[in-house]
Amino acid sequence: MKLSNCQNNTQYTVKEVIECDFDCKLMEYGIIPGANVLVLNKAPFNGPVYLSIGTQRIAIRKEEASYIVLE
Amino acid sequence: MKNLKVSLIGNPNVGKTTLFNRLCGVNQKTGNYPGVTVDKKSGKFKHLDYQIEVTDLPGFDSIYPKSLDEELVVNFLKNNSGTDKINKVVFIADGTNIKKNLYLLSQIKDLGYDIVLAINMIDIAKRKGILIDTEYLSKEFGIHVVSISARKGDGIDELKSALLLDSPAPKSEEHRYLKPENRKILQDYVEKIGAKNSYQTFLSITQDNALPEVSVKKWKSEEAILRYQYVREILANGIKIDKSLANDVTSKLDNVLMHKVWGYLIFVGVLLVIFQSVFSLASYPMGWIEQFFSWFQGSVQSVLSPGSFTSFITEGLIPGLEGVIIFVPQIVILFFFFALLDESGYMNRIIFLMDRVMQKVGMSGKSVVPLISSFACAVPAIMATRTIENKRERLITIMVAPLLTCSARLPVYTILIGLLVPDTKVLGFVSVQALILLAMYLLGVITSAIAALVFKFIIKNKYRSFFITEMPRYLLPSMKNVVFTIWENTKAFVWNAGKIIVAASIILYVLGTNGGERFKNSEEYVLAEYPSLTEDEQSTKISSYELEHSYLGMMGKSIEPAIEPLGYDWKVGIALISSIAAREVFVGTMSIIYSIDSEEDLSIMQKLEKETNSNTGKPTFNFATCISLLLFYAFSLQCMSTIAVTYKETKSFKWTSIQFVYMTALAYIVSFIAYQLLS
Repeated sequence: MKLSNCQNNTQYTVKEVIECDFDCKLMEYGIIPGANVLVLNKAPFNGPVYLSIGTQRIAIRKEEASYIVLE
Repeated sequence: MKNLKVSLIGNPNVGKTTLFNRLCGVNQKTGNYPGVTVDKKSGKFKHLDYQIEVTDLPGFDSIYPKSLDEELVVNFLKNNSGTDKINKVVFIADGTNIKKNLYLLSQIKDLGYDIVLAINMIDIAKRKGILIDTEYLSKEFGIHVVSISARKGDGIDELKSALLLDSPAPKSEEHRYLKPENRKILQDYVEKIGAKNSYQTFLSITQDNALPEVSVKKWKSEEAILRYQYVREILANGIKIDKSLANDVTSKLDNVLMHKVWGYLIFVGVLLVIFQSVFSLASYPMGWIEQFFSWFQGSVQSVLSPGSFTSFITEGLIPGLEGVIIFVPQIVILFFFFALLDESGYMNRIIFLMDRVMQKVGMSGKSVVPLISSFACAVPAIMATRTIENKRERLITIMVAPLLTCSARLPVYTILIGLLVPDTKVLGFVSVQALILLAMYLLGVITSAIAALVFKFIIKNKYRSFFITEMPRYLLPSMKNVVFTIWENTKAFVWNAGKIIVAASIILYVLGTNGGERFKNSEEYVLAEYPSLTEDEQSTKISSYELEHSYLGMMGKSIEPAIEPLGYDWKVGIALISSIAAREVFVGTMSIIYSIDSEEDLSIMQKLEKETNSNTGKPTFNFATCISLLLFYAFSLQCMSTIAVTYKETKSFKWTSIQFVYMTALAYIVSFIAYQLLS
């Protein structure tokens, strides 16, 4: 499953980040295989996804989220 | 006295500005037009027998820059040499979210910097049950570690003392960012080119492709994974979290403030409060400033002996100064709110809520903040676009920002709307003038959206847009920072806009009171043409003849054929020419033109109402002309400061010209159509 179509308020484990222009950027934010992410909220009309990873909270666009594969 | 050069660096939203203010107090200076931490700020303080010079760099997230702001810091860190060479780095980390900070810290450390780690917000971390073993971190990284609370001022002296100490030896010098086989490739290359620092070499390989046979992508992801592993190991031993103490206000607030319904309603509410305060609250101090200047003008007039110097002061310089000072209340209120939003962490929630909408017109959620600023002034707005990573989204934001109604347009609108309709109320309390003003604001918003959409189709997207934003914890804003933000922005506005406005007022006065042969001998010309006038009529005729034949009058006359289809005569032409410097000069120019022109002591409004168009004989400021002028000022780029800042930020003559040309053309065409339809 991809992060772009997952449930709010659910904990997931990252399986892999699909190779793309910004995969390293995502990894710098701690989105690496094995990391636990909690989806907190999604902005309406396919807006950004708000998630917490470790002790930090970040928002990424739905398009970017579709490169993150969950277990 | 020994000298030490220190730089403050860290991720955004870790309290860097607060610490900087705490360290340097008022001994600081900034370049032109500061955003919150956009420009390189520097300051000084003394500790023991050291004079310590501090540079505050913008917050950045990654050694791989994705915005101009970050590029600035990364280049600064990569090229640390010469007279500006820094001796120490103070790395500021957020005690409540240290993982990401330590990642960046380990990169800076690998660049060979001598670092003191300041763990900020230690008080909040403790309350949340986060216990940080500073001793362990110090040994592991080979740096001094100090716990501080920049807000409360705890640990600042310890930090100052730590700056003067030598760093402890690190546990190992080994690189932790590549697997053994790649490490060997890097090491061989470092030896081959004789580089001093292997991480710097690693960056030149991964950023500038210095070693083509290496897969940059692979190396970068290897770095990310290995570094996170390393940081995780350190965190596992160095940080303990007592879950029972974790009290998460931020999540609870986010549930409401980022809600798909409540979130937007609250955002609209926040905007309403800001605009309401800017317009109604500011009107009181603006009234006082007006009163002060008319008193000042009167007293200067009574003290100085009448003559050309006195009239230069009272009719040229003082109105010019007033034109600048009058905006200060609005700017102060606006930046007060911006500082509150930024300091509290709410600004990032706005970015989240608005990203989708802004994307529809080719911009980013991060464009919202600059666009709101341009309701005050386009100059800080264009500077603030530096945080937008994507070049296309940033360019579109710069292009459309000056279409939003900045406060310099307000005095122009106020006068024109006053001439357009009387101050009546509908439904008993809604002022018609206020409704028209609101319509002008909406017009700006709608036009900027349409313009953005057009640019979205014109500008090709060379760079893929991506968007990652950190959501900081909510914090109570520090009043000290709020005051600093207001002070710096107001100072920048008064100085930068002030220079142009005062200079324009002086030039106008000189051009309006000097002229060629006809100007000098105006008395003879008038007497020859109208021999039967009374003495009073004569002197009025002479002064209006003088203005018409002054250099200013000639300039107005020369553009008259071009502006006649818009419903303006040469006097309005003079105001248009002079307000190319800045829009608000329009009002000043009008009052200068008409006070040169008339002997009676009337308010500017009364003078304008009495004025007749020298071509048609009808009142100059009739309905069609007022509408046409309102539209002209809504769309045209009459602001030299904006042109200058667009050039500075885009570094492109092409885009600066495009902005000026499209806005001027839009203004001309729309005013032309409006006047022709209405007259």
